[in-house]
Amino acid sequence: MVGIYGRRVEGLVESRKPPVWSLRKGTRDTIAGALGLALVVTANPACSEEGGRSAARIVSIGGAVTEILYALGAEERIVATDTTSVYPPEANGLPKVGYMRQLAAEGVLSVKPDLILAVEGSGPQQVLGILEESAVPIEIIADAQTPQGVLKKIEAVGAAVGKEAEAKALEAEVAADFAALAAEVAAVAQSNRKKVLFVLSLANGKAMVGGKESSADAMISLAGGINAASGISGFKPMTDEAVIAAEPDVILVMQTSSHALDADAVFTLPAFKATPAAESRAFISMGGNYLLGFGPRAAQAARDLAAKLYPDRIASQ
Amino acid sequence: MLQCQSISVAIGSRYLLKDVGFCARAGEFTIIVGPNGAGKSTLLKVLSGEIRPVEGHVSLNGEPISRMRPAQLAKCRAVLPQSVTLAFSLTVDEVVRLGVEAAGVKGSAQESLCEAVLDEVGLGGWGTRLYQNLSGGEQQRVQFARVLAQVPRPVANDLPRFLLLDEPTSSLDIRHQIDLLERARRHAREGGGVIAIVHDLNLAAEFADRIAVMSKGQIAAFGPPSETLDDTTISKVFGISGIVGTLPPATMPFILPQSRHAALP
Amino acid sequence: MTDATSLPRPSAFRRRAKSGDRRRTGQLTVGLSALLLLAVCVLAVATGPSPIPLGDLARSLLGESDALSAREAIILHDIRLPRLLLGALTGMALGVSGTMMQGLFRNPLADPSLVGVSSGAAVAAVCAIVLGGGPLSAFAAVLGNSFLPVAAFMGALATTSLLYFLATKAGRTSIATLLLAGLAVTAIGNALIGLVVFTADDQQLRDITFWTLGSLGGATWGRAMAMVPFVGIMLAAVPFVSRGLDALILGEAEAMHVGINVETLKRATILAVASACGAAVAVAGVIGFIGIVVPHLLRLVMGPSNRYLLPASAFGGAALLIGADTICRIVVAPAELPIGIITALIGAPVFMALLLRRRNAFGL
Repeated sequence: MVGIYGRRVEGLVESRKPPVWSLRKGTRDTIAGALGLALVVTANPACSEEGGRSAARIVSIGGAVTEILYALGAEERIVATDTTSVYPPEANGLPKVGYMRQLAAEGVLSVKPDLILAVEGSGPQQVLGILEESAVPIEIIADAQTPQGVLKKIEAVGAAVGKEAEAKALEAEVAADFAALAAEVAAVAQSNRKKVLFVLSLANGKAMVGGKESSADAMISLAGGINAASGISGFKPMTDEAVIAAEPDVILVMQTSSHALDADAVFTLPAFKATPAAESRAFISMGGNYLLGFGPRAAQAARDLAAKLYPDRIASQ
Repeated sequence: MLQCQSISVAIGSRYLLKDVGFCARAGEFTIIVGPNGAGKSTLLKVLSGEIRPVEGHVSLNGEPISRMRPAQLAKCRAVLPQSVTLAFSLTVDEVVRLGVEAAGVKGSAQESLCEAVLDEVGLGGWGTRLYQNLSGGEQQRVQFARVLAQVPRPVANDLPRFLLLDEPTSSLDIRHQIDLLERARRHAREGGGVIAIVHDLNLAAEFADRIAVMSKGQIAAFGPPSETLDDTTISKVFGISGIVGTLPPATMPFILPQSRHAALP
Repeated sequence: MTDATSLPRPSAFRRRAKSGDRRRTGQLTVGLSALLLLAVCVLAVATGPSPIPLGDLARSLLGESDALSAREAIILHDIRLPRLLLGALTGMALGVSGTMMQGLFRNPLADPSLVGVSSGAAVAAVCAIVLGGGPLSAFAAVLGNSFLPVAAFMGALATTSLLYFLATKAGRTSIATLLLAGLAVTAIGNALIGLVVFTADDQQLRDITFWTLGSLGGATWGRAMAMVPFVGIMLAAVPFVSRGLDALILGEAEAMHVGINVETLKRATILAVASACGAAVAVAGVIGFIGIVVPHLLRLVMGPSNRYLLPASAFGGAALLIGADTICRIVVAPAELPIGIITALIGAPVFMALLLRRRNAFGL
């Protein structure tokens, strides 16, 4: 099961290279150092044993990390989260240290944490550098958007907070969910697979879509769909004609309060009017964090999506 | 001595000055007259070093001004422009002080020089006012005070210093016109040199030791007023006919302009 | 100690202004702005989302190593102090650059962020981020922490020179041309940034976002020290350009007449502005309005004479930026507001007032 996804893990990790501009003589706050540390931490949880395991004041940065902490029953030890931590709803009641990519060093330290758990990609790097110099242990949780990545994430968080047993149980449960879904998806014939276009936003009628190597792409393939925007890499704008040429069977969007897209709005646009999706009005809207967060609910989200794509073959749960 | 030889200045193919030679001597008040567009201001700008001529060269006391640094030049000559618009609102004192500093005066002597030159232009005690709130004529007098402050002594190190005045009387009432020209003449009498552009031919005749009459980018006549401001030159250069007479002391010409239509037979 | 508000109000001041007073007011304002900076620095060091007792702070600063807990010591020495230095240097850079640009262009509306100099620096910074890992990696390796400031400096220098070339004709700088040229340069800059962003990878994209927002967060001693030579160049230029900029108030030809080497003055000023602005943009992103608000308010109090205005702008710019940053750090703690919000809230109204007052003069 795991082996199937191994290729993608490698692909994601090697594409990250440290920007050279910030290199300096001292190694302590270089990005290379930060990334190096991130990899070391996730590969070798033992290095966090001194302080983190019994940490009682955790700052949790990243929606998936926070979800895992809740799932492991460590929620009482969280003192603050970031603005992407919106699930479970109780997480919203905690102090927020800002957006995960715009953290403030003193703000994080002001809640007197004894452990900072941050998902890979948190930043800015300079702030992470400062936090690393502080006495507070900081652990960067690797973020690979694959089933294997989700299991690793759970494992890393569990090890960081001394909940290995709970983590093992959760991992087994999530792995089983992924395996079951993969088996069901495999039964869908290639010819029946739907082409899915993930639309992140529509600014001025221009579609920003999820290409290959994006989290949306990973989710679509887990759910047995084919990414209609596989000619693009990452989240990029797609021209109207390319949207038509891609012939998506289904439009997939994120359901958020701020920029909710609805089927009427999308299918009246010329680019989308001419797609097979418009004919069948196939339009799927799912919570952004749920769909793309790659947290403990990722398998469930993938199943939900698959059930919407292939309602007669896959049950939602 | 401030002189130039075979000066030409052109914009595109149009010549503003063509092969002009000119010389202002120490101890003399030289006045440039001529119709609009004759090239008077351009000549003054060439003499001050503001414009580099395409041909010819300018020398001040024997030294080519193109080889003098601006600071060095500033100690030998001061320039009064036609009009000055300040970008920010300075006080009268701050304007005059720019001249004082160019003269190289230091310490408490700055204050007294400021006050002295303002007294000379009849603006004693005005140092604290804002320049932009003054009338046009008052602003012109402040600028003249700045010019005087820049070359406080007409002669320094045995070399004469020059005043270059571009229409210094244009915004002044008749009394202040005379005051200013008298002050400029004193500078010449004490050994310095003065070059001024003046439109009033009678004032020019009254104050000038020598007059350069300019026309179409060239010097049409150059010499004492009695030799340059005659009927033929006036009618040729300005295209008017006037009554040119003389006043005592015998040779000083005066010009009484007439309506051009009345002058027709 | 009196503060700035107890100085005569502009209108009253104008009526009873005396030149002697003006010079004394100038000296007084320089002194007061330095004191204000000192006070703001104390405030910035003493406040933050994590309260630290003042007495402990003072004892730690005086060298007592056990005055603070390890966490507090890190907050003070590795977060607040480098951020303070970075803020002071950036504020000085922006305040003095504004004053110098306004003197050079003979216009109170010229500001590095409005006429596109910051935009030029930002383009260079973004290119450096993206190309630093590829074609330019050799330079990046040699220059280390200075790579980004150097690149931004080149961008700022190119833009300032281009603007001067575009807007100045026969010694007269047209404000309309200047602002329009600034708009055009900013538009080109944004287009170039867009182009570079399109080819950037995820990591680079985040770094670029940081620049375009502007922030003093992420200040480290290394980054702050990398700025010192660039701001140093500008501050070193101050005594040499102040009389020239004063003379330039009369006009370019007039400045030459009173002995200023105008070409040298222009080059020195452009170099100083580009150096400091580039470095400021490189470390803190584009922070607007400091360069317009600080000189304008100071001119109302002390007049336009650059001899005192330039030093006062340095102190005032630093004080305003550090003050704004302190607000940003506190109001939504433990999160942080982007500093551009605060400076724009303070700056935009001043800019509009200035524009209204001068509308007729400019014929806009």
